[in-house]
Amino acid sequence: MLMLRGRMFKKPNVRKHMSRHIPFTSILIALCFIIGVVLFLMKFLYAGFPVIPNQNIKSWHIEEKITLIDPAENLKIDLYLPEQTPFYTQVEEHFFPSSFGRHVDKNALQRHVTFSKKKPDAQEIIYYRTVVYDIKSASDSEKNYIRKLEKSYSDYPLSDQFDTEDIRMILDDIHQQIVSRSSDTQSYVTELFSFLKEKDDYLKLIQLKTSINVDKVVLATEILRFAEIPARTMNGMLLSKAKQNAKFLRWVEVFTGQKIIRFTPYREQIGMPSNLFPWYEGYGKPYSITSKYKNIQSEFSVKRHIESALTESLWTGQNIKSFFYKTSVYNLPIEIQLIMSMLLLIPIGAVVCVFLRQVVGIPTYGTFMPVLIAISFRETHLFWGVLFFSAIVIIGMLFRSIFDNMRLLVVPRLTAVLTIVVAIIFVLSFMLHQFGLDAGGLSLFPLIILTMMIERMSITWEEQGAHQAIKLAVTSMMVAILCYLVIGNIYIEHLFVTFPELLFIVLAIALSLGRYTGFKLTEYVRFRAMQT
Amino acid sequence: MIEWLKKYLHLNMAAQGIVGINKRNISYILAHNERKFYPLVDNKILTKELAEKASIPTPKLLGKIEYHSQIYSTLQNIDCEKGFVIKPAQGSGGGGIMVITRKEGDNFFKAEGNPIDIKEMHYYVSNVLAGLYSLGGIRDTAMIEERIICHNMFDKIAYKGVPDLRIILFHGYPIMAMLRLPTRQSDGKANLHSGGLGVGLDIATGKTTYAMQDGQYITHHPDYDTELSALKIPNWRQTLEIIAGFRDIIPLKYLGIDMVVDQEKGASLLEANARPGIAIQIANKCGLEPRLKMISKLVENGYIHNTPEERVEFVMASLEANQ
Repeated sequence: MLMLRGRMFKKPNVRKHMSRHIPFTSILIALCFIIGVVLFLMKFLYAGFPVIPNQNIKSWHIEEKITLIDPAENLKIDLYLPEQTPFYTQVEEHFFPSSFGRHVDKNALQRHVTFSKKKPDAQEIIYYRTVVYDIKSASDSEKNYIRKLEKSYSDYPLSDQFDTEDIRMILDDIHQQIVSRSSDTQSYVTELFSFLKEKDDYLKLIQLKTSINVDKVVLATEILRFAEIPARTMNGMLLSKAKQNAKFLRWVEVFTGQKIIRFTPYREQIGMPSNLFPWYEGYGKPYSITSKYKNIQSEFSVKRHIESALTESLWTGQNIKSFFYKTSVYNLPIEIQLIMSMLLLIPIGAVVCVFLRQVVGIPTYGTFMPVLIAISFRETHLFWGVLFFSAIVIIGMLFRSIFDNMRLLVVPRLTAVLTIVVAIIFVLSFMLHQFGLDAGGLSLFPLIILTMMIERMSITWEEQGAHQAIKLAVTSMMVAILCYLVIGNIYIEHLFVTFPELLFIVLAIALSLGRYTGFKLTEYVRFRAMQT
Repeated sequence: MIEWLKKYLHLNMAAQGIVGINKRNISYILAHNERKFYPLVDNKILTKELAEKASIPTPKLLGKIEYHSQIYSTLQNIDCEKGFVIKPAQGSGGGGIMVITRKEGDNFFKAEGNPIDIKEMHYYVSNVLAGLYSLGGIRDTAMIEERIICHNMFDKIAYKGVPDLRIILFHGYPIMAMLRLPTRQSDGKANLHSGGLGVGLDIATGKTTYAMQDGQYITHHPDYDTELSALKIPNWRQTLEIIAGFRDIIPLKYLGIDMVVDQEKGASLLEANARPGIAIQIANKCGLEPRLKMISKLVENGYIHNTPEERVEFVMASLEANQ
């Protein structure tokens, strides 16, 4: 080499280029990693965000559906909205449709929303949706709440149909019997409860003079008001199981300054179940409408929802002013939270894919295809997901081979395959529905990815044989399943939704994998022959 | 178990200087090849034009089809005395290449012997134009070039198709070479992935060394049972000198060059590749890294031989000395 020295030329810039490149990458990787870890630790140690999801918190989606048939012009209907109590936290409310004029009256004793429309259609459907958490609300303390209600309902007049001479006499008769046996509000309520439970004749008498709709709960409320004890009739539902047609319960609430006594004379004892969700006050329906329509149906459905990601400390209002809580995903509406939780998981899935590709060396169809398939598995669950996926790809490939024999141009052929994929999904959804299975997740199957997968697999089949095509399909599916096992894990989901700053660590991992020059595991097999 | 793995696998592979895909991509392709020059090799028409300008022998371009409307007229008017090859200008992995030996009326005869009518040809070309075989599936051009008449030394080692030479060129130095032979299993394609043979070549002499199929060493051609060792590529030094000249026309530092040996013209350029595969190391039973490092050291110290002849001389001398 030395003898050639004299003939060397040109100083290339290779060395300069390389040495500047690597330290910058390493610094950036370290920086991302440190930022991620520091933010995570601050949120975990200082702000107390939980690392493990709290599965004890229950939440419900409640939906009210009002169907109006042949409403008259200038339709105006008030829907009563659930009272904001300290016992539950109502996270959000949605009203549909937007074609109505809408006004929410928050200040009225009974919170309500007024829907109005000048020229309604032959059939109008109004929806109200809300999400309720079984967590004590941060907005108001229990004491304040009771004091406020006590004030509102003291000196509350008798309802119109009870405010007559005849009925006042009957009420007074009952009142005298009870008051003689009681010393304070508490004992008055106890006596009233047992009096109404045992005797039916007074109720029948009053029903004759008022209307058949009066029941013991209404009667109890009116007696209490006659006795000038703050009380009301409350209507609500039990939040226990998912119910398509939830029934309203009716009970009496008495405010004593310290607590609320709840009871109904139709139960064995004073008190109500604790999972009672109060909705509206009064003796009527959960809505009121100005003119008389007979054709109104109201339906309530309750859906249980296990909110694994929610943090109790957030809703109970501790540290609510902290910067971390303000910037938390949980401060977004539930729908956006759901989208965010999916978005935040895509990078992890992608990193799993990259690891399997660069370090293990598993070949797949398309780089990110497995991530998108894994995301759709989250909706369909693994077993069904794999089944649907295989079914769609196999049927799609059969059609693709038919299209191939028809000599179509490439892009129209892809469109035809895409159409077939949509048709398969439609038929599958329909069949699933017939079997009574939920097919909602199918719509999330990434159509374009499936179409491209069918195309690529067919070409591999033609050029490299069935063996190679099936091998690649199986490895792609394995990678998708591994991705799913990572992103479908509730602990990982909770971790990334609660601590989105972990994305910095994901970025650091992605960057370091980007500089990985070691062998892939599969290369040990590939170069096996050279070892001997 | 871990000890065994380390000893048996990792240390051996690192010690042999084997370059894995990750190392090839990061340390050689990304570090040495500038993205803006990729089109020069990804588009075979451009590569061919550059080669012709530099008087490097290459199969003549008979025509190109860019639009659907050109397909019929081009196919009908094609000069077909010696046969021709249609391929996507930006094809990847040797996909979509069709070799036609002769034409009778509207029927074309493929190298394998079976005929294909003009309608089927039209469909095939329209697939090429739509980018079915191309990198990233982008619109492509179909190029038609003259068919290579294979050198008769390959008659007994190449099954039907055309064998080619793959040479790794680093900073203009041809550092490793392999002969790729088509087999029955590979359907006449000189493609290692589909079962073609890779035969290592000694840079210093142009003689074949080891032969492999599907990652396993073999000694005889599976279809002809001819011995594969100690064959010699004709005009080896001139071939290497042609290849070393690519440094002046394509500014990519790490390149794979594919050549064919034509009966009349000798070595001619088929195409160049910015991401040459790593299986060449198995065929040579030798890692690329020591040779790459030797050249890198030379370059870092500021020595580069200026002419192709000097570079070939340097590589031949250093690799002969190593043996």
